[in-house]
Amino acid sequence: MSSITETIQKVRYKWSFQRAVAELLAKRWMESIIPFLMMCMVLIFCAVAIPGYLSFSNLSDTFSQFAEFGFVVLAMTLVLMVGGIDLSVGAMFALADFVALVLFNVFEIPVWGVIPLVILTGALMGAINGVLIGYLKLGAFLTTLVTLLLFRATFDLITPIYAVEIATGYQESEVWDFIGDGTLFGIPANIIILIIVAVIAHILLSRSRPGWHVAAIGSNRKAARHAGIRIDFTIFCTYVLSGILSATAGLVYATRLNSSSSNTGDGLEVMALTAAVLGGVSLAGGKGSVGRALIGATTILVLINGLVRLGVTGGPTLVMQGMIMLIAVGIDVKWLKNKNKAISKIYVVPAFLDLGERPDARINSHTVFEQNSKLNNARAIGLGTIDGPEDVILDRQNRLYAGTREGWIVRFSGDNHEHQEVFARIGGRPLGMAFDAEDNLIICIGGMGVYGVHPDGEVYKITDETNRTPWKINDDSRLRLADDLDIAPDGKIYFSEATIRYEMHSWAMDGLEGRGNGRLVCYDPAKKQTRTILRDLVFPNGVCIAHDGQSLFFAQTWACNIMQYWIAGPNKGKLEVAIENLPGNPDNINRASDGNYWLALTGMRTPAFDLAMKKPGFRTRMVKRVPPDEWIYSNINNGCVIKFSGDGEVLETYWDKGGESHPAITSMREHRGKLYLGGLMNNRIGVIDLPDADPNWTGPENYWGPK
Amino acid sequence: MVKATIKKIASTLMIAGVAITVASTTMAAGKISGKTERMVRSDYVTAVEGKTVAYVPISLGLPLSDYWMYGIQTSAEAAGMKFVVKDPAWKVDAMTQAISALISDKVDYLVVQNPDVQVLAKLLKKAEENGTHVIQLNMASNYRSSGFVGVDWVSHGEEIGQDIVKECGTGSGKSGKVAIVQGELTAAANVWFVAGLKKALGEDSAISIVNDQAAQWDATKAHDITAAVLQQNPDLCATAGVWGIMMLGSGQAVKEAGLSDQVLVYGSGSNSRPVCDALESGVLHKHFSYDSILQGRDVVNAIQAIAQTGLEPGEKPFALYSPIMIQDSKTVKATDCHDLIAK
Repeated sequence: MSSITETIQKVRYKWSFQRAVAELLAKRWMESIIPFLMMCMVLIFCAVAIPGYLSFSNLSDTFSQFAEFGFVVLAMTLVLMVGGIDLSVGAMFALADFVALVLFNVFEIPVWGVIPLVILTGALMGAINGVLIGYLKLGAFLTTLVTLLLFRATFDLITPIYAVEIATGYQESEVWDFIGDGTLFGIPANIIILIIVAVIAHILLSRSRPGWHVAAIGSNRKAARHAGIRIDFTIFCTYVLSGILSATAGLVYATRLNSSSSNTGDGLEVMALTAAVLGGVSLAGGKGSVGRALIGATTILVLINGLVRLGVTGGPTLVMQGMIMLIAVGIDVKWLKNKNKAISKIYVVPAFLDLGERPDARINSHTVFEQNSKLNNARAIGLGTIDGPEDVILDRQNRLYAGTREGWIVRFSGDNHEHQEVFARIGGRPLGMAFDAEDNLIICIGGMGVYGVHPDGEVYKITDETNRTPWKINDDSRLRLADDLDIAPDGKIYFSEATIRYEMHSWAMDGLEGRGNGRLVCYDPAKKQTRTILRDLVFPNGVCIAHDGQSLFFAQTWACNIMQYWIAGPNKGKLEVAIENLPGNPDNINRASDGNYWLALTGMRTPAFDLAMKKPGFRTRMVKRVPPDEWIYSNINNGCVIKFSGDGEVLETYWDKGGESHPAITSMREHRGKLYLGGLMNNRIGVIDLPDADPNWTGPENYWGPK
Repeated sequence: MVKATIKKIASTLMIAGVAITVASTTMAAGKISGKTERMVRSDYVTAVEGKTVAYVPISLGLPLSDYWMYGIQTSAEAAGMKFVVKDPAWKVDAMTQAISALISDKVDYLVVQNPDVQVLAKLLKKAEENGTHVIQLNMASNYRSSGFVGVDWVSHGEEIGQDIVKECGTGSGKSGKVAIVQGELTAAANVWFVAGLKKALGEDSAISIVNDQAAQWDATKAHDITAAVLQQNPDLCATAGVWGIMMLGSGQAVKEAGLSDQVLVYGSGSNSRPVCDALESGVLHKHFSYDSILQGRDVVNAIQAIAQTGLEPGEKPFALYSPIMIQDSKTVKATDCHDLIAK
């Protein structure tokens, strides 16, 4: 009976709609889904209420009046993203409009002269804001409020001098008229300009270093400073760009209406702010995009235009606008803030996982796994001075390398490895390591990808992305958690990515899912190409090329088994289970001098967690209803080292009974008759003597021969 | 006897004949006039009835634009036309949007009050190219459309200027100092009014313009400007501006300075109740008024005429200038003024 129920459970939890929803919600563009729906609703409302609204000619006509507003909203978005605000956009717009008209109508300067001069005016006005806010560190709100008044007063002062001349003067220019109300294939010219600027702005913001700097400063100024971003200069530049965009808006407005009056651009800043926030650009900074800005701008404009066309009078339109602003701020606060909470509630999607009968490892159980004291006398290297050496490795010169939580590679040298130095600073979380034929140290970096370090300490990137899984909702091409690697005789780097759903800081949550979220990836240095070779693996972890170079072993941590995959020879492509039903969660695998393999068990299985893995419904409820610190997790605080043969037979076990010095072991490396022990959360590297081992055997020599 | 009988018959016949002739002539005449009447009527009906008149002022909720709306709407609907109104509420953007929409809706007649001479010019041209007749109401643009209904601003300004010269100029024994309060600098009414005003003032060397600033149709700004002028020129003789409602602010400033007896406040605009009250209370001294409800009717009359002539939009532009009546505290009568139109 129970097996039928379990089969049903297995099937039921294999695929998950919830997972799709959670991954969809986690997409960045989902932050603007409500604004997008609002825009659609407003459009539908107008289409229903106003006959012929959706006709091309009407839309073209309607949108030809929107270009200048679009530019101003882009300007506002830019400064909001850097964590500021620009209240002077409306005044800069009015001044630019005025300057354009004076130059064109009064001084009769040709269009090609007017355009750069107006943009320069905008840049200068923006630079005033930029210097005050970026370099002198004045508050953005008050500063731009003051410059708003300044620019507006300047406008009021100089307008009367030229107002009548502007209104009566006129210069024939086809270019001027084309920008103002020309069309190309029925699309208004000014909208085409807006689209071009928007595309450039989009690429700048989302695909370029300066754009990322803007978002970084907006998200966390302090962190951005620590990351070495030139905060002053970047902020200065965004305000200059804001000025340029506002001036462009003024220019487009000038060509369209040929008019400058005292209320030109009045209240534009509030409208632009409403539009930007409505589109999902966060008032708190850091979050926003060109797409969102345009969604917001369209919503506001279509709505106001619709109300005007329906004959709704001025007062109610203003009330409506105020209410929209409130809604927008509400969205900003509630949706953007709570979206992550909603995701975290449904993001963890447990699956059914039956691990089978647990092998006994207790004392006096007389099994191969029986606990012993072989590691109790391990000597400590770098005690208290090293933080979390997940993997350890030794080079031909007997120097010992380990990755640390700080993102460093630390090197120990000297007879007893007493001399400690930082070999390389990579960042991320260094995990599995291997030496290649040229003695470069190749390292899996959690959160970054696969990197190499030349013997002189110079760091270089090998790969940080693989091919994207087709039809997968979340983009899994970036490597999130490259875990362990090994290098085949032909130089190909095989590495595991433990999970594509969680980051380095939340990898343990993947254990609650027990789902095939990981993959095995191969980097071919000859083609410089990264390709996923196996998908849907249950937290693939340690990777080790077999002694004969024809196959590789990899551990699936949550599935508690070791898989063997053939990469060469007659069986190439074959995948089979080498060891199943381990008593604990396997981690790194490495070669032993006697032709066998070392395996670290990072933690031992427990009856409660084994049972929980067979109850996905229980884990789902737990994740939703119980605070995270009370969840049941896989045990990762007591483990051991195992030696197994190429046939999958477990030969020996090494325990640190009592778990005093090496509780959770994540890796071990044999070198010249000694075994070095690493642990993800340990404050030391352990070493024990292996009396029966070959005292001259080293990994690099075993892999690549003597040098 | 026989002769007498023949005579009798003959005369009878004659009478009968005349009677028949007369009768038939009379009948024929009746027939022709009925037909003409029907032709005129049916031509009128096809040309006018069912046509749409759209009205876009700068903003509703002011005496001026509300009276216009009342005049246009009642006359248009009485003539069997449809009436549409859009209220941009002082927003130029909303105004251009509304007019663009009306152009694409292909309304037959568009009545527009221009906020300045330039901003709508292109749009109005586009409207006429698109087949919509544009009547510019009181405030015109640089584009000359089918018709203009409103005040002849230059002579209007001149008239006020001449009156100021009479009150403050040579031989009046006063300072001759005049302050001009402009509305929106680039609005047609303002441009031409001020031109006329300055022309008239320039003709007397005793007159000096001590201040010339724009209050942008805002009574509060007019108040502040005038208050400042009065501090610098306590001997000011007159202040004048193009719109009475705005000049109420100036009048208030004069009153607050206690100079109502000395400084003359001139305004121009529709004969609304607030203006009449101000004239009675001495806040305004002279108001050159025009009847905006009748202007509204003029607009519709013009439209009906255009409709029946079959002219293309802008083909033969014309202007209908509104008559002006001068009101002051002595001449103003309650019957001369329109009450505000309740919403």
